[in-house]
Amino acid sequence: MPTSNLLNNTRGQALHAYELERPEHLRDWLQNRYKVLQPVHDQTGNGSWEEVHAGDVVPFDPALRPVMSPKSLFFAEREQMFTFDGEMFRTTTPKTEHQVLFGVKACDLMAISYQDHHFRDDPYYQARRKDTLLVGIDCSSPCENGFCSTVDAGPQVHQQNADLILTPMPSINGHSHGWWLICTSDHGAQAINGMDLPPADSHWRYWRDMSNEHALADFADDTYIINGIQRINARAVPDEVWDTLGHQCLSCSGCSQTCPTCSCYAVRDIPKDGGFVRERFHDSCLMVGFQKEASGANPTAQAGRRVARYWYHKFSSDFKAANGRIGCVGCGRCDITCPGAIGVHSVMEKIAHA
Amino acid sequence: MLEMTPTAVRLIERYDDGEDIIHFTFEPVSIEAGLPDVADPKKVSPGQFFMLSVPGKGEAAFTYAATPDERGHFCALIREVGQLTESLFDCKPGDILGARGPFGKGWPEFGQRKVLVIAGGCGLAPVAAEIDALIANNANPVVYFSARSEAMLVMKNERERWHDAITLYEAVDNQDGASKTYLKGRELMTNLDTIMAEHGGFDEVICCGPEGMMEAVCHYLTDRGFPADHIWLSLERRMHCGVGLCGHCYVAHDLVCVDGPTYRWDQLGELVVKEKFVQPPRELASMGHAEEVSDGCCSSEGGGGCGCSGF
Ligand SMILES: Cc1cc2nc3c(=O)[nH]c(=O)nc-3n(C[C@H](O)[C@H](O)[C@H](O)COP(=O)(O)OP(=O)(O)OC[C@H]3O[C@@H](n4cnc5c(N)ncnc54)[C@H](O)[C@@H]3O)c2cc1C
Ligand code: SF4
Ligand code: FES
Repeated sequence: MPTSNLLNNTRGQALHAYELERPEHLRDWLQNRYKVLQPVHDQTGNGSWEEVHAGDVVPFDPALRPVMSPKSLFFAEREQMFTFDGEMFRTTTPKTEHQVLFGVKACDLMAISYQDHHFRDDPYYQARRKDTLLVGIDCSSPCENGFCSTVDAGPQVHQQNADLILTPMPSINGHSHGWWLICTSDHGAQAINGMDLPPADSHWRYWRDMSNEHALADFADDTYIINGIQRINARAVPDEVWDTLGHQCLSCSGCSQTCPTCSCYAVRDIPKDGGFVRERFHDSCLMVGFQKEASGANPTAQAGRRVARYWYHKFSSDFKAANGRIGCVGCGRCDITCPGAIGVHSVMEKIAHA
Repeated sequence: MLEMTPTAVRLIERYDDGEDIIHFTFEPVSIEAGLPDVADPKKVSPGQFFMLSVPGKGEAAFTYAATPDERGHFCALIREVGQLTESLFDCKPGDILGARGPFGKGWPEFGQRKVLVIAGGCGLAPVAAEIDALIANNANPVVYFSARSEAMLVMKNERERWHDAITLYEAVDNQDGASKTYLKGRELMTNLDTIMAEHGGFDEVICCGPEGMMEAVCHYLTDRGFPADHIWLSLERRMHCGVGLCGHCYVAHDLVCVDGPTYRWDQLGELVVKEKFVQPPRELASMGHAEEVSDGCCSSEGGGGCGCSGF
């Protein structure tokens, strides 16, 4: 049975790997005990994270990565924090159940690990997170816009970021031979206990690394990203360049919404039954009022300063000491989403050559 | 886990203490389970702040103008600037509000060191509790306080008390109709010269006031060889959480709510410069560098109306 604290596991023990014919077999097994969510093709064409019920005949598409990351499954887009009835404040504890995120890519897993750290003492985030089992999946080739390899987030799932990892067996002469299932945590082991999967041959590691090499070899030239990161760290990007980028920002906050590592929020009070409830909701540092103080002072009134902030927060090593890594996981979503021209590729291209 | 839900507190006293400024005292509604952290004298130190919720209107950060006493009574000096403070100004003694804290880093332990406190306007609030602590420690601080006019000399009761215990210099910009003669507020440099002449060397300086004032004080001191790592300031940033989660209060890689609001001048300078474009050395003008750094600290637009604000 699932334990009450899925986060509190012991990772780093010897890995066990098993053979698995189809990912759906594992998913169906997990459905017996957990609520299972997976990427599903939807009408928008963007894909979404949706619950798949036992008995549903929903195929699992290993290549699908929804435009919205699983971020809001832990850091909710809107969250009721507490109620006030006129006399007392009462915390609203989120209702949670044991759940599985099935088929999370390396970039999103790295982002979850990043957010786990940021929200380590946040009761709302942790209530959801501690009850969640993560089933990762290795990518065999780069996705459109993705550059996870440049920022050390993928394409292979980092072992410490998931409880179970699915990795495709090599396809020799076009024949697909199924999957390996790698168990990386106690909770992963508990979740598959009883499945009676055949153990993998000892060569699975070799082939997994080989697939990774293959995927890495397929990534597009990322020199401008590396260069851009260096220029941000050297603080060598002139203010005028940021100002120009600032002019192109429509302040739609689409990048922050889709970015799996953006974590800013604002709060509002909503009157209710003679008292009120406080809600928090996602915010973005690109909005003009983000730092506006009640006195009217606004340290980041200029759009250029805000755009600079966004990218400084994603790429500067100044944050490494506190967060263990840089903020960007290379998923490329901001570039798909931006209606202006300030997604990650456009920005890095410009500042690399500024 | 962090506590994001306020504790119910009761407004027990309020009085006018400057133009559009009210001095508030709060107490916890229930102390059955002991004093809540926000009102616990063992948990709160001068320079820290708390988040005050005005039911239905939101939450904002306020400095402890007086840290909690053993009954859990604590004070804030609040200026009316917007919707939340407007509603707060409508509250009557007995009304229930929410508070959580204490948050942020307070002033460092100064022990018996000789401290000069320089405050402008509402900037007196974040240093007031420290002045009391220094007095209690027999550290005998010297205080310089200036305001726009006599009516804006806030914290009347506290100052009366201090006059008996320590040297307190008071200055106002506009002397029209003043009940007595004050130092001339606009002559900050001359006033500081006088203080330095009368009291000699200080070990530490704490400064809190409008940005222009803090900048002028820091330059005055460092120009005279006073070490930047003995100058302390308090910053204001928009805050939505107070606990390092919401992201609003950033300065470079710091979050002012947890890493500040008190800062050492040299460390703040280093932080602020991280948000700046740096030219390669070959393009650097002869010696402008140090100046650029310190200018940067005070370059935000708009005036932090309340003394401590606006950096
Ligand atoms: C550490 C710290 C200590 C402080 N100590 C004190 C103190 O001791 N005394 C004191 O008086 N003040 C203090 N302040 C300042 C105090 O928190 C603000 O003045 C407070 O928010 C009062 O604002 P208000 O809610 O009344 O104004 P609001 O009504 O919230 O806002 C006023 C104005 O702020 C801007 N604004 C507000 N919300 C938004 C938004 N969502 N988007 C864009 N713009 C917006 C608008 O211009 C608005 O008109 C402190 C602040 C900090 C950070
Ligand atoms: S900044 Fe862009 S590419 Fe990087 S993690 Fe966020 S959305 Fe993905
Ligand atoms: S106020 Fe929320 S992070 Fe500082």
